[in-house]
Amino acid sequence: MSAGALILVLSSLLIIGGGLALFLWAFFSGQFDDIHKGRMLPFDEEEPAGKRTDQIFQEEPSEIKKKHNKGEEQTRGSR
Amino acid sequence: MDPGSNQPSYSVSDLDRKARFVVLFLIFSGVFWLLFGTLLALVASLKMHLPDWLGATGWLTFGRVRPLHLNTMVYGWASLTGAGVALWMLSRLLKVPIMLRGYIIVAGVVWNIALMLGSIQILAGFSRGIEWLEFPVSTMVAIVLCVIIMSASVLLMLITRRVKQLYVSVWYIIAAFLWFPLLGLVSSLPIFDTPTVQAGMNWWYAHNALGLWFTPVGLAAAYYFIPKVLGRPIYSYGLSLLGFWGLALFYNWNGFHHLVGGPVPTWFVTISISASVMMVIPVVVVAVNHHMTVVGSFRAVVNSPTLRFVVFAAMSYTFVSLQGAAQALRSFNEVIHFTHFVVAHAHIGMYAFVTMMLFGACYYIIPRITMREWHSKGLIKWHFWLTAIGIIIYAGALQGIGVFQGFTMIDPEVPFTDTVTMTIPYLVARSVSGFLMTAGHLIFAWLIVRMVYRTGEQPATPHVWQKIREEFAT
Amino acid sequence: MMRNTILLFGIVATFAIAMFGLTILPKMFIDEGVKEPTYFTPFEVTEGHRIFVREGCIYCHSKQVRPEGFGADFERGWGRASVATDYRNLIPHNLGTMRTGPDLANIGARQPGRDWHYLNLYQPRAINEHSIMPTFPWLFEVVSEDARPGREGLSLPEAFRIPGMKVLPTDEARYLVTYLISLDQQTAGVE
Repeated sequence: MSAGALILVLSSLLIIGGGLALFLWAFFSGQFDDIHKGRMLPFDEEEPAGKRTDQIFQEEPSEIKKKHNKGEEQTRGSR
Repeated sequence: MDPGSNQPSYSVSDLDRKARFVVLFLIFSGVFWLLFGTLLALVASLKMHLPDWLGATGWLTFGRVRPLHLNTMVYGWASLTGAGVALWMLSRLLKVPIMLRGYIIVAGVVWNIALMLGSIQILAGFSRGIEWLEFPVSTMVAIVLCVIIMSASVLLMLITRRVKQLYVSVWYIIAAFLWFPLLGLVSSLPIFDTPTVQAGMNWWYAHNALGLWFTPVGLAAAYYFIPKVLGRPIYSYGLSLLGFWGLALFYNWNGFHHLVGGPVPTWFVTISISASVMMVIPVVVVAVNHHMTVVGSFRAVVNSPTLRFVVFAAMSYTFVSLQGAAQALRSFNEVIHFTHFVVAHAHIGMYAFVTMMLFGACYYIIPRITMREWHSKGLIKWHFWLTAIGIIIYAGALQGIGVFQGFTMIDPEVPFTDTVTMTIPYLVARSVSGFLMTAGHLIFAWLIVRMVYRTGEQPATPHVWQKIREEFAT
Repeated sequence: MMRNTILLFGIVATFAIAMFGLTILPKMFIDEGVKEPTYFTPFEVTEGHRIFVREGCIYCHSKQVRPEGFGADFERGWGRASVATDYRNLIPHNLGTMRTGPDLANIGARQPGRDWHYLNLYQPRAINEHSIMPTFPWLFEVVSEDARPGREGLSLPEAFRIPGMKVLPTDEARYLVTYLISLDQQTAGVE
């Protein structure tokens, strides 16, 4: 193997080793601790969890009222 | 939020408002290339069973139209729209406006010009002749520089963000914007000057463009829009972590599975086959995560145009990735290599997964950045069904006959010409599916144009999402 | 900030590993063998290769024969397993990924005659009515029978003949055919 090739092999081994070491360090130093909090990141005060969005094909509340004809106040939109 | 921070915080409407011009520009550009690429697709598809059609000029020969279709769809439609969608998501998740907006617009203009010049060059016969890299080096370098400007924006957004923890979609997006310029630059270097070495670079590049640029943007979208629409957080954050690192560590090595049986060292191919099979782990992880998040909310999926597309796309991702892992295995590869099966596989990936995911993302993003409603629910449904049925016919027809084509090709008793004639009816079916998808794309383009240029009436009643936002406004 | 630095490093490092693995290492190993021979590739062959690339032949034709026992490439008479030296020093590589048409790695041995190739390029259905290969009329010129005395036109079947005219290959067609005939595993590679 030529000198250049040897250097390439050694440097790739260094990079592999370095990458793995950093990942393990990150893992054991608690970088991935806040698992439960992480799940909630797409949500905020304006668009909270528990609220469905983008239900465009859902029937309008007035149409549902007409259909069910139960005289109830509650509609799907305000749940 | 950083406690004690004096930085001003941005409301969701602030972020969307600031994102409006940049994201719309990128999406509009992308949709233009979608339509152009679709036209090229129809021409190429028809020429396969009508070989003498439009056969008089080199500008329209199959061998030039087909690669231009691929390149415009990949570097035009999917990359431009993908970039717009990714930047919008990043803005939402880091709670900071898209940075360097002016520079990104300039980059977008340059990108479009590069695509146009590259398209003329390919049709005129100056293709670089490498699959997935047919655009001349000048075009690729220009595109890479444009992406680097966006990568700079991504890094600035990361540094100035208003949230501490990075959501999984953020990792995918940052990774994509770092990986893609590196891929583009390395593949443009003139150091791969012997044929088989260049072949290695070719397939390292092409497969990585799929897995390290389009897949991360697509998965970032799935991880964002599924929880967002359902109002349910993702099933397991830990699993999403595993999925990301699995992708990062294993995907890189897949490239040589395109060269099974080819004139390259066997042990390189074997490494790629192993990596392809190892990919099953992150793919299954992602599938489980999405499935467990969605299960029980079927109604909510059907009621949302975004989720119809996004869930279809996410399921396609699982399917095409598992299929890809199987295709890498030598016994299966022996049969389906060089057949239409592989072409269909590529389209399940780039269309059923990436394109459908981008459609879904656009249906969510565009109303929010324009503060307007889609003017026709019916047309959205048409778009969905035309494209969904279109790609299902495409994949079914070509993978169905592709397997038989493969079996007859490895049977030396069958004359080669028979392996071609048996595919003709299915190539016709593919053209038919192409017309369905074209109709879907035209409807999509029309919906967006109507939305932005506000011609015609707006629906009389506000839809559910606007009502909810009004309810929660303080 | 540290966490993100790690993330960024991880991404770049993983990428660099793959880059080394799949591009530079093969370049090292394969180049050790390939740099030995010198290729004296005639102008016509390199030009023909350029036209082959331009017309996108690889989108239907592969140019890599798989080893005996893997598929039926050998039994179909397509040749022995391709090796790196078969491709000379011609880039782009054109290994191809589709067999809508037959593999071309050894086409020069199967079809050594120029006339067959000219006819196939001008109108493939003149040879095989079921062929879906495109035509390449711009590689030819149609001139009147009396023009260019001494040069014979292609011998077209009845259905494709144009009365009073003959079809002559242009320089580009000649280069392309020279290239195709050079794709012969016996003579390709080391000179």
